[in-house]
Amino acid sequence: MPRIRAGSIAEHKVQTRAAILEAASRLFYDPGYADTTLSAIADDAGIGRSTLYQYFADKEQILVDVVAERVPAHVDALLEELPADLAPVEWFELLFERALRRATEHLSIVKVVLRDAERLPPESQERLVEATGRFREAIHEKIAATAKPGSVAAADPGRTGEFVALLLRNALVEMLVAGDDPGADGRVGSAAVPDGWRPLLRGALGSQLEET
Amino acid sequence: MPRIRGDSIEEHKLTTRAGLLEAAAAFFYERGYTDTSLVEIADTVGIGRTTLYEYFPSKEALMVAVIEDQAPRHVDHILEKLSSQEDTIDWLGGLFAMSLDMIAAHVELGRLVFHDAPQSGSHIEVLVAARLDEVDRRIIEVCKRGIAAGVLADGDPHRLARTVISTLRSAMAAVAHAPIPTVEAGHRKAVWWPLLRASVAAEPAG
Repeated sequence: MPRIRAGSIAEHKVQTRAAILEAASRLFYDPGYADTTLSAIADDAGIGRSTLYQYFADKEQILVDVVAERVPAHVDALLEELPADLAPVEWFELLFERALRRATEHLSIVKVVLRDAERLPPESQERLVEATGRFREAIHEKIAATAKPGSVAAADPGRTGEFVALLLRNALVEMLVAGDDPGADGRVGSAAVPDGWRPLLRGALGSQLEET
Repeated sequence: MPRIRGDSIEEHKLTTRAGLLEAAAAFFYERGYTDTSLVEIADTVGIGRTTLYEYFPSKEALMVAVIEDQAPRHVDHILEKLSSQEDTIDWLGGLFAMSLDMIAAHVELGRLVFHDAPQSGSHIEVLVAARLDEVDRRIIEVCKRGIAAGVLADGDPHRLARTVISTLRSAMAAVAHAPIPTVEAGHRKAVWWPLLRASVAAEPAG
């Protein structure tokens, strides 16, 4: 008879589910999403493979839940550590740099989300989008609060924010492609990515936002 | 024995294929890709499902063929109109504006390319079928030329091209998904084009 970890069946289920997600996010980090099997996740979580199937139908579903439950905390931490007194454009530059750096620590998951998200069922896609909702909100708010009067950004902070998010997405893709290979300057390829994107970000926002 | 519609087997096959493409486009456009079954398409053309598979091995293959049949003429029309445009920025701006207007005028085709195709996992095939790979190639060329002429920001041409391509694609997808596509096309042109231009241009556009 399986060991019940908690006081009630309902509580046990919550804990088992959490253990699966915990194991999955550990394994998605190392050895990476592609090299993680459902059996390995079950083993790591201390349950049988058939038990795992009672919670999740497939690896994609686990990934969506891992992202949905982990990413918001990353976003909050990222936003919190940005100094509030930076000039708006510099605030965005630092946001890019920090977001990219955090993403490098979870490349395997970022890779799957960027590459395979479009293929997921609509409801899973929505959950992935929701997971970064706070991030897009923060971009939107910053633009709305600091846009120069009469600028495109002031007229439509929402779509301006989407453009900024798109630039960041491109930077992430470039970072995934660059990977960990050392570049000409000896730094790993992905380390140079924020520098490459700074002019594009500055170009787009420089004339849109207040100087201070 | 099945009725042969053309003078020869060859011709019969071409006629049947064309009929299938027409019927598939009508179903995909009116009812949506997901809610259309291959049986209905086969029925409309008066052939069996097994025969349909001889022409198209899957619904995805049929979708790719519909896109290949419809999209290239629009894409070629836009590229043709831009062929005399020497100015890099105006070329990019023209491409952006015309592409969005084209999607607004052909929303159903836009939905196939930007919604159903990515979901079915045949993304690359669709890019090729719609000749968007050719558009990408031209954008990369124009970015290289623009950097050499000092009109575009000095940097990696592929990074600039990726910015242009992704902005264009996202804007086209947004137009295809919008409740009123022409209105969304207007917003994207008014907001995203100035941002994109300022992002890739050598001098910050004021």
